[in-house]
Amino acid sequence: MLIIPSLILFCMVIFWLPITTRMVYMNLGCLYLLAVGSLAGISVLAVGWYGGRSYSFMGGLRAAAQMISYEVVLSFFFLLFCSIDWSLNLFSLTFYWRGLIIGINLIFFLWLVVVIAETNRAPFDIREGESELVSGFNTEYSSVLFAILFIGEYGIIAGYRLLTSYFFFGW
Amino acid sequence: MISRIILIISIFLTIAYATLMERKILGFRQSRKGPEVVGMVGLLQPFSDGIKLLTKREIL
Repeated sequence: MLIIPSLILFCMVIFWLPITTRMVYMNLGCLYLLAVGSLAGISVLAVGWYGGRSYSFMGGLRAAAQMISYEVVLSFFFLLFCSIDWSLNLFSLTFYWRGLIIGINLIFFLWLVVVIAETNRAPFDIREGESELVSGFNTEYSSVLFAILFIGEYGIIAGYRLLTSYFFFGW
Repeated sequence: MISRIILIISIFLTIAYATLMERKILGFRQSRKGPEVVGMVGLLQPFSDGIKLLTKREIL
């Protein structure tokens, strides 16, 4: 009963691992972050399905569609970051970007748009959709389960926030 | 071990105050004050929200 909603919490925790612990020295860090990001989209779909109503399943489908489609653009951004020194290492990435601070500002706003759409925040909130569907996939969840969903979602947002400061402003 | 526990606690504090900041900014954008009753200027609002959420009944 607790397993499917805590998928999002699990995604949040393993998203935070390579940007806060010693796993930042891992060789395939960017690939890891991409994999965890798409796992978050799939777990949103699973949460919507586990609600057991067709309404929340449609909400989950809609959220997963948006997250997967913006995942493509995000992966192209990671390709751009990694093509500086042809490595997927997160730690060496920030060293290179720190020296190029003029070129960073040009694509910072593009990155901002993509990350906002990936995490479903205000201008792109077709997942929330206050007027027609009230955040679709989590309508069937009540106390502890809703708290877990909420913490997971906002944790992934805070993880992307830390990642943005890591890529564009050094540490 | 201790550092992992501190990490998890600070992630949760980050999430709590991110929600508070979001509500404050949305409030100021619509010329409201946002949450400011619980705590000093609403600084304890996330914890009261969490406690209220955890004491609710669980359906599903």
